[in-house]
Amino acid sequence: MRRITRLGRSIDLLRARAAAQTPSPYLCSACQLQATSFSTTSIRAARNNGKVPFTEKIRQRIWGTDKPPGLEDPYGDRSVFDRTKKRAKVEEAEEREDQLEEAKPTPDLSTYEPASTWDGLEKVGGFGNWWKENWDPDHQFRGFLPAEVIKDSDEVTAALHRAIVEVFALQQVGMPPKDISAAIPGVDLTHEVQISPTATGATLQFSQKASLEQVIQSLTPAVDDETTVKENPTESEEDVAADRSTIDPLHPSSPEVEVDETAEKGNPTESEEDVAADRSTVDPLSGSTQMTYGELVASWDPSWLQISLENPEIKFAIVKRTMQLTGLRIPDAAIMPAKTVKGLLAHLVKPPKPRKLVDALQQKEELMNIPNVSIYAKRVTPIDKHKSVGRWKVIEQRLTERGLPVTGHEGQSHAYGDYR
Amino acid sequence: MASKRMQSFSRSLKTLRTFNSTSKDPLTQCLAPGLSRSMATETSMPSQVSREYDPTFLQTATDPAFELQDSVLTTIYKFPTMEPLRFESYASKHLHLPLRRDILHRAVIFEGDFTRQGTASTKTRWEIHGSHRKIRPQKGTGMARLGTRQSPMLKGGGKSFGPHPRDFATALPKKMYDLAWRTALSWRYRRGELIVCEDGMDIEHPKTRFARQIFEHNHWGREDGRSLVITGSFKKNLFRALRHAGEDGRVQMVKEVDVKDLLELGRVIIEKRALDEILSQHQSDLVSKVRSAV
Repeated sequence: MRRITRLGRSIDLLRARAAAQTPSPYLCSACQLQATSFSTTSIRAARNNGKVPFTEKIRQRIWGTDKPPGLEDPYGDRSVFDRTKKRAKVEEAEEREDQLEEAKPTPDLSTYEPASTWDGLEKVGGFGNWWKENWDPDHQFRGFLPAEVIKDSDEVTAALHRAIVEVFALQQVGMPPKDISAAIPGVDLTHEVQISPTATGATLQFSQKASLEQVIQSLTPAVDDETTVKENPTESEEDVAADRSTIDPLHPSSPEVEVDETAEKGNPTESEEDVAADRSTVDPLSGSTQMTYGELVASWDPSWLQISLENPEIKFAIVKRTMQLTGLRIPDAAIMPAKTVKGLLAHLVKPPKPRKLVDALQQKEELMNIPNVSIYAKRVTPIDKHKSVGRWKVIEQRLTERGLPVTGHEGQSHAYGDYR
Repeated sequence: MASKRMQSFSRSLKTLRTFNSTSKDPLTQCLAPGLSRSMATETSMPSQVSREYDPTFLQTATDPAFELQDSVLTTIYKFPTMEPLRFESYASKHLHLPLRRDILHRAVIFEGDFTRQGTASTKTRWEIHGSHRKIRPQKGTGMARLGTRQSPMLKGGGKSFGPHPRDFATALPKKMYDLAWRTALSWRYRRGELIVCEDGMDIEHPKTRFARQIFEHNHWGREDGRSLVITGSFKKNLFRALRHAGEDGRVQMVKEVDVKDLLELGRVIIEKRALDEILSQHQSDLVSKVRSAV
């Protein structure tokens, strides 16, 4: 390759004299200089030819040693390219060594089975999970309704019952029913509470296991735990506090008893759920929780379904609490016509409309019981009929023997009317 | 009906005996002194009561007369958490109209026609550039007779009956269109797919993945038929988050929404002020233009 011409440097004079010995002596000094600067061999190669360059010689002589101190190249360090190249070389060597080391102990391959699916295999590479791992944990959405929806109809009925008990308990105590959702719902205390409708609302018959005070206590948010309060905590808190002071004549010394009880348990600062969990272990309620929801619903006097929902405040509180407990959003079109609890329940436990005709037909008992009626999800083809009598395998075999298409008419000139 | 009323009456009697002071019903209050003493003729009481008009018999769910009520109830939710805040009532001529498919169809067609761009344009033979010289002699070449090279049968020639820019808009009476708006909202309401939210809907972070979380939690997303979110004004975080969440739904300002949008997706989540704006602007068939001289 032709080197770019450069202006003569003072150092070139030295080099020219050093290099002038080997080429032909018939050139003048100027030509010799030109020839050396246009030489096709690299200077470094010439230098590394075992000869000590002239500058080094001078340095050696100045310092008086064979290895003078200082840089080899006094005009600068090696280039970045050289350095990275050298580093890469070192790293490559290390990698090779590692690989060799890894390869040395031969793994026991007798038990090795190659995976047939990727389930359980370690995933390597990719940047897709950064947000999932780093952003999502700190930015979790928490809605009012629980994420999982209760689907069991008896459980939903129990939730509605609980909501009604709690709302009327609040009303009985004189607290506004809209505070119903101030606390995160804990353990259900209302299993054994019987409700009976009256003209103004309902009366609650509490059992020994769940008294009015306990229910109210479960509904008031823990004072220390501000996170349990969902909306405008200060207001509701004040209301609750104010109400509690006025309640006292109605239920003398009940809040104090409650406070003492929690103090004895020794965890008044813990969250509502923990308190509830403790209570469930302490309370003799555990016997009733083993009851299935179906039995539970059957144990209530059915007159509770006749409770009037005419009062919009009560209705709102019941609907809100039911939504919070079940995770089902009750649409306005269902709330509005519900004049009694029964109307609300009719919407809640309504089975969803089947999406397919087959599902709708299969739910009909009278159709399924008729002996000569059968319901299929797909069209019954002639092949299905052959299969049902066990003829299809034979037909298929015969067709393949003769090289005829089993289904369809590929390769045939006519679909029908081919009588050859 | 009568037996039901009897039942309710006897129930109220029972409650009166238990709490005779707490009841707030004016009817029972005025009856209370009469009930406190033992009555000689009990049979006369129901007849006295039945003279009073009792509106509750209209409000049982099975009664067809139930539809006569003049306002419907709507729950107002807090937006991202979907906590019910309160009930509000809307006129039943706003949110409880019967479904009229024909009116909705006409409105959608009307909107579709109105939105057509109508800019398709072609050139006729008179608009194509070039000389009108006769291409070849009329006779003697053995080939077809041809005039100019702008002839529609030649390549590069004009288009005979091609499209030209025009307005596709059709007419629909304003009252009918307004009725269609309210019918669409009513249809959503009746199906339980109209979710009215408190003013100031927005979310905390302008992140699509956060919006996805919200949609998934509330069962609004792709599996549940997608959702249309309508706000009264531009909300930065919400719009930025939902901009790329198209498979779960979309967000629009109220001024961008039309009847077809209301009918399209699985449900409509609407800010209260947006709903009020729609209803106030589309009630020409209910409100007379001429102000009454009061």
